[in-house]
Amino acid sequence: MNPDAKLTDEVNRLLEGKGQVLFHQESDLTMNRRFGRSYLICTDRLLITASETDIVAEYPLSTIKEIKVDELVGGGRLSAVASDGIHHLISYSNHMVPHFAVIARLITGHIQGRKIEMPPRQKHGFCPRCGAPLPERDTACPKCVPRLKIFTRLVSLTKAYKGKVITLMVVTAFGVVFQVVPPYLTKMIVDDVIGRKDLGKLWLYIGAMILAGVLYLVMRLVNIQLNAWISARIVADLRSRLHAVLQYLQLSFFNKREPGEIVGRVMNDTGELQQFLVEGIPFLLINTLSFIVIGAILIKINWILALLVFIPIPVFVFGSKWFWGRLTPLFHRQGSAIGHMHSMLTESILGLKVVKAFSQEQRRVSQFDGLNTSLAGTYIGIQRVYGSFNEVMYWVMSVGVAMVWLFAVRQIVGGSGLTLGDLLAFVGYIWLFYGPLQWFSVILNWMSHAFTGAERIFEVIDSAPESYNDPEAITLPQIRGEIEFKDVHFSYERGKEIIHGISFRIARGEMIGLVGKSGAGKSTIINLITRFFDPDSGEILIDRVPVKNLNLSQLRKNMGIVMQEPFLFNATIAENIAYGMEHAGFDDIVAAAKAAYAHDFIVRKDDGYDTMIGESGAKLSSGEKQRISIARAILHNPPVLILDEATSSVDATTEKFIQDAITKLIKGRTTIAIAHRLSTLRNADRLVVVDDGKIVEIGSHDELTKKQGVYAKLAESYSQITALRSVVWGG
Amino acid sequence: MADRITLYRKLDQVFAHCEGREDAAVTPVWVRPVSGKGREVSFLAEKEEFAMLKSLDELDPESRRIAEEELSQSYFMPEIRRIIKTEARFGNRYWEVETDKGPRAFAMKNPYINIKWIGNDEVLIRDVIGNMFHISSYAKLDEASKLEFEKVT
Repeated sequence: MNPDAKLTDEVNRLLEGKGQVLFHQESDLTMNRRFGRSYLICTDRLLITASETDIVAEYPLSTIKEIKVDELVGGGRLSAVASDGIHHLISYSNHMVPHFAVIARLITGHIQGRKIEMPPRQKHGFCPRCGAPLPERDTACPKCVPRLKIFTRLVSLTKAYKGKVITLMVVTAFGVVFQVVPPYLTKMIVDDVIGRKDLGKLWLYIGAMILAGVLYLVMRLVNIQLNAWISARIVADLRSRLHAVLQYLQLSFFNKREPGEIVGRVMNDTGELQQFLVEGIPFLLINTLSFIVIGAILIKINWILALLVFIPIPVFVFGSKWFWGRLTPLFHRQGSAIGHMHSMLTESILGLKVVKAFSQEQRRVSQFDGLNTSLAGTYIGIQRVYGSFNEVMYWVMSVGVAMVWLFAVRQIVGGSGLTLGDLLAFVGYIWLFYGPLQWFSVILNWMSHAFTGAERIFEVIDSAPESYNDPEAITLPQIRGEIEFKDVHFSYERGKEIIHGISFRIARGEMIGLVGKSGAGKSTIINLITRFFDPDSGEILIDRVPVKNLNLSQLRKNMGIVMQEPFLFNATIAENIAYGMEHAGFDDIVAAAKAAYAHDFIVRKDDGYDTMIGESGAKLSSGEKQRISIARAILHNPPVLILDEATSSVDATTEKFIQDAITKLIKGRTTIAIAHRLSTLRNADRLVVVDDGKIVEIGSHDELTKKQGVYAKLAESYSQITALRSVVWGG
Repeated sequence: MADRITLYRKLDQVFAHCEGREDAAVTPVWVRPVSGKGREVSFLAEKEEFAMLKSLDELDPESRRIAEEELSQSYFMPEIRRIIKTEARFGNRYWEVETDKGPRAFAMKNPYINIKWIGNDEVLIRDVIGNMFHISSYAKLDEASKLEFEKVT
């Protein structure tokens, strides 16, 4: 939704007398589904579709029940569900999917008299500044990164290290000075010593030369050290901030992003930035400075010769641009090919059993060889272009040097005041002057790349965290665990409403079983209770206070969650049980483990409670992990307990253990349990049957079985599966 | 052959009729949209498949027209006529193309994943957001377009 995108004057004229415009959305396709524009407009009484010049259709709002989103391939379409049937309203490409999801929700909410929370603005996939397509929906446009702004922000990060930064600047400047001294001394030696056959000053000049060399060396060493230190600090600070921000961000941020992408931001973007700060920035600073200084010296010695030296500059600039234009696609091709190879290797190894089972080894081998050959070809191409690039540039430089010799020698012999020393100094400077030129365009490209990463980092840092520190938030003296849903509607990012108006109450200490097919919305309900997500409309109350107004950290601390695939950290078993309860005594940990039927298997391990788990540690079975996470919940002793498929990934024997552990756990707590195996819910006071985002039945097991409705059907298919399982497992 | 299926429209919604069964609102989809567009078609009712046909040829002319209309709505896949310019920058590929639906610019990350060759001549291209583009015959593209295509793949 882009509230800034105004309707055109033309459309506004057409809308005269049609009522007050409430919402509107521009599509990137015309009514004939070509790239272009069309509009969907909702006024206080009409729903209108329009092209850029005409109104295409109007529907009285009173006849419309709901706006439906059709997800199509390559785009989508909104339809109006009206009293007489379905009308297609407007089509759009994938770029506009989130925007139309929002407008559909807004209009439906308006029609049904519900207030809808406006989600934050979305970018529509094109850069608002330059119009280029964005490489990700929510990213900065790398083509027009505001370099200066980012640079300033990076510089502002160095505030804490002001002294070091100033030292770095001074050292850099002096480094450049000491670098340009020796060629000038050459001139002095040739003119004053050799030219006058006077050895008197030779030692002075040689001494100065050596001294300049030493000072240059010292400046460089200090420069390298300081620079490395500062950039490492900046990046380390950024990384810490980024990680801290990520921990506090709303889960919806992660909902639309791959974990890999986020890890990439934390590691790659910062890494790339660091490399640029360490190598790129000094290069730019030193070479720009020495470029100016040397240029000035050349002009001072002899401005005509200096002009001669400047002539090939455009050749370097455009030449290197052209060469890099040829090289970049090759680098890209190499990068993609390597990525492809990685995934192929992973497949080859992880899928080895399948490859062997179908005796496809030969085919895999030839597939890999093909890819490998093309990768080698790309590599050869890169080296060829790269090598010739350097050689050609070297040749252009030597042409420049030859020109200088040509003109200078004629002037020296002609006796126009130019000395042999001038010539030698010139030749010395030329190499210093030309050398970095060919790299400037590369560095600038690199800067764009690194700064895009920096902007992505800043984007995350700037995005809204969860409201942990809301001063208005209510902190209850104690959470008792009464939960109520009031006409809750909810949708995840892509705009398909998942929960369509749910209302129910859970009394304190009651156990509720959420039942329904997968995808019915059970886990979503739990995500709403824990406030991992906020509803689009409606309210959720805990102890009669809207969760929105509750202190978030109090809310979460009072909820224990046991998930289907419990996440255990890379730490010892004891630490994992005491997660979030660092001060728990060891006796409490053991008591919790015993209550969760985990103690026995823990003490059987070589390292007992000190057993490391996770990637680098012992492998636990899913039943063992589950019992550890139950122990964690028991230790926490929360008034509200959530069991999300806590028993579905374990076998029947383990289920029994877990079942018993759960029975102990739920005593005296408000419990909400999701389970595929209905036997897990045998203790539930009431069952809430969810189907397609709505509550279809509520009641006890017996009541619902008698009713012969949705639950009875589910229970029947479940008992068939159980029967089947007992046949398969003989148990 | 299965009982004959006919399609009809009620407003913008398509319904399928088959002797001895209740009429149902259906959405036609290609069964193999990538490798076999124009071949098997499935008609999806709300909960389950209403019917699958080997080809649209099994429909009467009017039903067929309706099905084709719906299918072309469901698959928005502009045909690339000319590739104006491509560019590989900052790890992304930028494309500017001329399609049968008008000009368009899009970005792509990894061409190994997002450019799919069907046989030796047909190409499917997917951009970062999931929009699809189609080249029915690569060989028939002009030389300049091919050059631009090769620059980024």
